[in-house]
Order: sequence, then structure tokens, then C-alpha cells
Amino acid sequence: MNTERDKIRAILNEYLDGELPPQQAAEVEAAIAKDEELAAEHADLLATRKAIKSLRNATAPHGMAERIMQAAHHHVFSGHEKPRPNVFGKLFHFQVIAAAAIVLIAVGMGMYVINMLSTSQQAPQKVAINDVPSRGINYDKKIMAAEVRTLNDREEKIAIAALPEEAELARKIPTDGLSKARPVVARKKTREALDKLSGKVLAESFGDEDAEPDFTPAIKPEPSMVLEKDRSGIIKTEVSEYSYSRKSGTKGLDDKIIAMTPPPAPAVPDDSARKVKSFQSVDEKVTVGSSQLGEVEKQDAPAVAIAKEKIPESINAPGGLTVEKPKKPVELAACTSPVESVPARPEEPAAPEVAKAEEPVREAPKKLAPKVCCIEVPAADDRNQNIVIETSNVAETQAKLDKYMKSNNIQVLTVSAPQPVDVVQTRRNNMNRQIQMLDTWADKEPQKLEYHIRTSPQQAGQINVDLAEKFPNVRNVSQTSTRLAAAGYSALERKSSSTETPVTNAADGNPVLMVITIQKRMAASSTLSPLSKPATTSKPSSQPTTQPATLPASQPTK
Amino acid sequence: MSETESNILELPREKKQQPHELDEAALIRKCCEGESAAFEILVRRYQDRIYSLVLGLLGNAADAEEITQEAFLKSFEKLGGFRRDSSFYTWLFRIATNEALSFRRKRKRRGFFSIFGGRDEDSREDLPNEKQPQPDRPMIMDENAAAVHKALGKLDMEFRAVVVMRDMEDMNYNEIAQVLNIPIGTVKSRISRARLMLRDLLKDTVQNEK
Repeated sequence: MNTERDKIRAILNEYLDGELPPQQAAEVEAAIAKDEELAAEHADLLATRKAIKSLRNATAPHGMAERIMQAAHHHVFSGHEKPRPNVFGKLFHFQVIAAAAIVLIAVGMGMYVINMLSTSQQAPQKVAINDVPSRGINYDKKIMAAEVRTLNDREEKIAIAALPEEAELARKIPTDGLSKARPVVARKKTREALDKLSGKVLAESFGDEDAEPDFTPAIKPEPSMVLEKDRSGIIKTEVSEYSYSRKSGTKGLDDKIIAMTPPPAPAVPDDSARKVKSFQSVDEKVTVGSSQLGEVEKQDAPAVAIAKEKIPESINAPGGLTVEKPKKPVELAACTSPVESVPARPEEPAAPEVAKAEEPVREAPKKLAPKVCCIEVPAADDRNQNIVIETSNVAETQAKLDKYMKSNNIQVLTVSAPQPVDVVQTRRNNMNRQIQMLDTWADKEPQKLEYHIRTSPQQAGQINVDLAEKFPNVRNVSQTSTRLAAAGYSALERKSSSTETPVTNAADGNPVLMVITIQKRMAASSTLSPLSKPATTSKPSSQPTTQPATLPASQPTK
Repeated sequence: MSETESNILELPREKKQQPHELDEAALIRKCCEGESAAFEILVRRYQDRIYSLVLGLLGNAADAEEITQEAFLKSFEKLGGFRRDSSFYTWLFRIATNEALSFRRKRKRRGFFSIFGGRDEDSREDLPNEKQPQPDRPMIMDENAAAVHKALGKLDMEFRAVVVMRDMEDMNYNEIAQVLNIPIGTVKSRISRARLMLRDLLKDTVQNEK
């Protein structure tokens, strides 16, 4: 009974509204007639429905139609909004526009994030520091001629450009002082020169044709250098105070400069190669840039070990040279001005042609640079040489040197002309000025040329000797160029091992990277640091021989 | 049927059909061509029913008038998209219902408070107020009507809509389903539940009427 009552109750409203078919309606009527409870429910629902229906007499307020038409005339019939197929209207609906804007913003942010991530995943920029200014940018013209290199494809391309077949080409092209192996691709003139000199455009090797010089150095005084040693034994000298503005102009993304020295190689008896090692102060307070040497020691850098070596009173050099320890502990002045000595190698016969009995005695400099900005390289690393030839006529000396290189089949990696200081200092935001200065500088006769040579240790020694004979004002400043050469060492080594036949004929298989600098002699003062500058360098041309110019003076040479 | 339309329809027929004599399809076509007279006929034809529906849904005369006007204007804007798969009346009801529901949602979201005190949810009934006579309002509300209005206002919108459409507008279940775009079974269940709720709310009123 209850089940049937519930069934009727469920359709009672439909019965009330006349929505039931006649047969079902008759069943409901019969059930209501029999069941009083259902009849009562039906009566309640009927009364409720009647009460609601009593409200149905509502009519529109007076004048509503007129108001509607007035509004319609104002909004619709005035021509602004005529009824039309509402197909395209939805497309420009506010929500659609808002959604499109959100999508665009999301896509833009996504692209920005991807771009940032890809940028951050790039290999760090690596540079070799030729001369690190120890006391600011104006110190003795020891400009940071840092060679900006990267560890990505760009570095490979730079290395390619530095290979012998293009060395001649590169030699004729004024190059950026910041990137010795890299032409100043930003300059149209350079590109035109490249086109003329060769059928191929060398600039292509360096990426974007219209690219501006990648980095503009923001040189700050007192750079802070930190040593660290990686697994391969490569010493990284990080100058964190230097900052570069990226090519993209992104501010705040300063790259650290990392100078790399090659991993220590096994010492090979080498008679001719000059083993030049800098004396350094053992003073613990000697700072490396703004960092204390003690901090460097913690990183177990070989340089520190050398710095802590007990310096012998005098050392006999293989070339008949003898270096005497300075009276007072000295601080290493600058990268280009270390106190140089020759390590004692009893088993190595001295090169007689280097020995000059009448070699004038050099005096040790009286004033030393207060800070160390140059990290000593261990003896095993000391395969690289830096030779400076001072001349009054750079072009003539260059021709002479070219002839010598050619005749001796010496592989010249690249020849570059470092930018002047003011050009280097010109910031990116004054790019037009920088380009103008670069053009002016390129038109002038080069004041300084740097030959990057790759050779064997034996041949390096021979080059030293030969240059000393051929050129009156030649100095071996060593060491500092080691950083420069070392930075390019890995890339060049890698490239040559994969594509080129090894150019070195060194017995130990380790090539020597030399930097021979032809430098226009200044009229009054030499560009040499006090340590390496001889007392008689004011008249270098009058001296029969000044080689080696950087030796401490008090030791007579053999 | 409004007085204006009744008078118009009583005019003798001529060969050329007058706008008020046209059927819905013709009126709609004329509206699409931008003829305001045709639209005015449609407005006058359906304004009472639309107003009544909206008033039942909102319970406030002023809001009902505003929403009715909005519904007519929107219907005219969307007239080009009218597919004629339902009657114009049903289509117009759907627009009005959606406008009313949208209005209710906005007001609820904004937390509108009535000037008569209390939250709008509780004061939406357009109760007779002697202090604020509304002579142009044709609907005379007695005490029972006020109670019914109040009871309707206590229902949720989904239940109120079906009751208003069924009992006040005499729409069948199928039309209600079309207007509200819901299945017909949902209409039945909603009507059943709404009436049970109203029966409980109007127990005293219903007893008096009995």
C-alpha cells in the first residue's frame, strides 16, 4: 500500500499540472479517491498552486514599452548596434580578448624564461689575462689585454681563425685588443677588408656579421683574484672584479674573467728553453688583488707553493745567466713585471750563445708595486715565453720578424694589435665613439703587435736566442704572457688535436705558446715596469745587447 | 495582451499587411532589417509576461523593470542569431531568465544590501509599503500575496524559476526545460520539491484559504 502510495505521490504534481497521460491520470484519480492521505496531499498541493497562481496578474508598469523603445532607439536603432548574425561578434567579446591577452602574456613569459634558462646554461666566459692592472687601469699602460674566449662553439671558431692558414689573414686585419684572435667583426671596414683579402668572410667564423664587439670591459681597479684548481689540474685565476657587459646589453649579468693556466706537465730537460720563474715575496700578507694570499693557499694552488719556496741566493741559468735573490722581500709588482730568475738546472748545459760576459749589470728596482696581480706558474708549467721587442719602427721590425718566422718555419697562430687603452675603456653605451676610435686606431700605424707563436720548447729557446741577436731591444718578460697563452692553450690544443697535425715537435709533446710583442718605443719612458725595465733602457737602441733585459742587475752573467 | 496591441488587432484588415498584423517570423525579419515599429510590436506583445516572469524571479519591481528592458534590448541585438528551433516567446523567456539569474548572481556576489534594511537575499520581496505608494503598479498585493512572495523568495533560484514558469506563466514542462536548458526530468523533480517546500512555507496561508 505504501509503495503504491509513494508511486502515486511521486506523480501527483504531474497529475496536478496535467502532464500525465489520460490512463495514468485516471489511476491517480482512483488512488486519490480511495486514499484519504493522498487526497489530503493533493488538496494541499492544489491550494499551494492556487496561492502561487494568484501572483500571476502582474502587468508591466505603465510606460515601460516606451522606455524600452527609447533605450532601443538610443542604443540600437541609432546605428551603433544593429542586429546582425552574431557570428563574429563573439570573437571580439571581452572574454575572448582577455583570454587572448592572457595567452599572449603567458607565451611571452615562457619565452623569456626559456631564453633566460638557455643563457644561464651557457658555458662561462673565459678570458686569458695578459696584463692585469694591479693599480688601476692607468698603471703603466698595463692594460688588461684580455682575450675573451668562450667554451662553446665560439671558442672553437676563434681557435679556427687562429690556425696557420688564416694567421696571415688575421695578421693584416686590425683586431680587437680584447680578443686577439678575433677580428673586430663589428666594424664594417674590417669586414670589407676580410672580403678583399679572401674569398671567404672570416667574420663568419665569429658569428653574427653585424654583431658588435661582444664584451666591453668595465675595468675596475684592484681586481680581486681567486685561485682554484679543477680536476684536470688547470689553475683558474678568477678576477671577479672585472665585469663585462654582454652583447645583448643585459645589465647585471657580469661575467667573471677566468684566466687559465695549463695543467702542469712533466718536466723535460730542455737546454735551450729558458726556464724563467718569478721570485715572489714569501710574505704572507702579500695579497692577490684584494684577496689575501692565505686564502689562496687554502685552495692548494701551485702558485702558492712556489711563493712559499725558499728562494736561493743565486741561480745559474742555462744560458749563462745568473739571477740573484733580491735583498729585500719583494712583492710581485704586476703581471708584466715579475722579478725573473732562472731556476737552477745543473744537468742542463748552458747555452753559450746566450751568455754575455759583458752584459751590463741590472739593478733591482727600488720601488715595487704594492700588490700582486700575477700568479706564479709552477716550473713545470713554465713552457711559455713572452718576448718584447722595442722598436722605433714597428712595421720594419714586423717585416723582419715575419721573415724570420717564415725562414724558420715557425707557426704563427695570430698577429694582433691590441686596442689602445681609451678604446678599451670606452663603454658600450658609447659604442659610436668606440667604433670611431677603433677606425681611427685601425688607420694608424700599429703601436704594438703581438705574435702568438706555437712552437716546441727547443725551438722556443732558439727563438729567444735568435731574437736577442737580431733585435737590439728585446726583452724576455715571460710569465705574464703565460696566462694569455695558457688561456688559449686548451682551445688551440683541442682544435689542433682534432683537425690539424700537431705543430709541435716537442719531445714531451707539450707545445710552447709564445707571445712576441713588437712595441713602439716611447720617447721618454719605457712601458716596462720598474722591475723589468733596465736602467739603461732609456737608450735601448744604443746598447749592443739588452738581452735579457729583465734580469736582476747585481748578478754578473756568464 | 496589452491594450495597444488589442486595439491594433481590432483594426480592419487591408490588403497590405500592417506591421502589427504580421506574424512573429515577419516581425523578426523586419526587426533584423532595422525597423523599429516591428520591434515595438514585439515589445508590447510580450512585455507583461516577461515582466511578470522577472518579477517572480527577482521579487522586486524596479529590478524586474530594469531586467525586462535589458532582456528586450539584448533580444533585439541577438535577433540575428535566433535559429527558430523554438518559439520566439520561449527564446525571449530564456534571455529574460538568464538576465535575471545573472543579475541575481552579481548582486549576491557583491553582497548588495537593500535600502530597506537587511541583506538583499531576505528583502527581495516587493512587499506592499504604505509609506511608499506606487500608484503605477497594477499588481495589488494583499496579505496572502505577500506571504506567497516571501515564501517564493526563500526558495533557491532554480526551484523558484520552475514554479514561476509553471504556475504563474503556465508554461508546460517541455517549455520550461527549453528555457532553462535542463532535462525535463529535472524540471519535474524541481517542481515537486519546490511545491513541497512552498507547502510547508505557506501552511498557514493555505489553511486559511481552505
